[in-house]
Amino acid sequence: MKNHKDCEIIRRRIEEGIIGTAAIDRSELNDHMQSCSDCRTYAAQLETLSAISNVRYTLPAHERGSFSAKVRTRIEDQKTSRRKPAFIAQPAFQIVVLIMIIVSVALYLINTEPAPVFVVEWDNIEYLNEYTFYYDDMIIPDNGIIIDLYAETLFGEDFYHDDFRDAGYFDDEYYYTIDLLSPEEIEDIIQRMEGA
Amino acid sequence: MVSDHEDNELIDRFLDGDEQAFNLLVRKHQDFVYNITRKITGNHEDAIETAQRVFVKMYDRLASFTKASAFSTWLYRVATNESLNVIRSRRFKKWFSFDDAEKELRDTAINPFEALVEEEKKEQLDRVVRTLPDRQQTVFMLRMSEGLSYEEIADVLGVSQGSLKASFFHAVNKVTKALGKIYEKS
Repeated sequence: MKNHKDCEIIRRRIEEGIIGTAAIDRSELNDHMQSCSDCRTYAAQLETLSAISNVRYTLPAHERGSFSAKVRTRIEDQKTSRRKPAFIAQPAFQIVVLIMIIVSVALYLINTEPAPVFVVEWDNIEYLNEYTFYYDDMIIPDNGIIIDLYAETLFGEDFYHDDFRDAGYFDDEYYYTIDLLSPEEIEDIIQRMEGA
Repeated sequence: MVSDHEDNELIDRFLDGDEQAFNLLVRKHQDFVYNITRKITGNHEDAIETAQRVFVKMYDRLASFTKASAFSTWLYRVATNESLNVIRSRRFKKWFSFDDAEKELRDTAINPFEALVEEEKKEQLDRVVRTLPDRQQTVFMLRMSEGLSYEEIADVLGVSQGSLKASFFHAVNKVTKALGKIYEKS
């Protein structure tokens, strides 16, 4: 079985080399790359994306001269508006705010909000399918065990592994980019966590 | 990243009441900020508007810049957060207006004079990256296009490096898959 910790290290070095924040002697990586198709694929992906994403935008010529003047105008407008009587002192505004607070409290007390529903991304983690009993109903149970997870709610809010970790679902020592782990390693982690 | 020695001098002068120093800071960094806002918001109109707001915020908050980090990192942070607010607000409006994805593509399509300097592949990449969740989109842009290290991105976004690595990895996979589908069709 290949050493997946090496994959993680090699991929970081590939990134540094391709994205250009460090000079990397790629011949050093050849041994690993020759035997690991996953890392070869990752390097090819990065090279392609890097080639087409290396674009820098500059202000169009017709905006260039006037840009700082427009910023200055905004700043002056802001200073002027701050001198006007604050709208928050207006009775009508205060009544609206009061109504909003009452409605918010009422809604909170009624507490009709449904349980959060997560759409879990597993598209590149095929061999984890056997563990989908955690996610079959697309609702993460209170005692769910989460490993290297990116999830987003139906409302587009993002959750990452550290969000789940902070919520106490798991300890960071169990976290690893999941597709760098073998099914055996995943099984081992899950068993350790279930036993914890 | 932009060098900081001259920046700190200009900041000190501005905080001492020299308004001209602020104008110089704006002129010096306008392309730097526009590049970030343009990449995240995806179109010129939002980018120019957002870039102006970034500098207004800079005017208001420069006194709170402690020089603990590089000024360019601080500016990255303000520009990135402001741009993310724009795309979140766009998503919020879309949620209520029931706009379809096709309309968004039309809205974010680059305008004619920019099209002269854009390549087809870059447009496709832009569109694909724009479909990523906010954090993946931002990490992809800062890492791939700006070449920032995970440490620098963590500083800009205020999240852990572990989370960033996962975000970047997912983003690369998704973008590659999506581009692969586009190329297969064409």
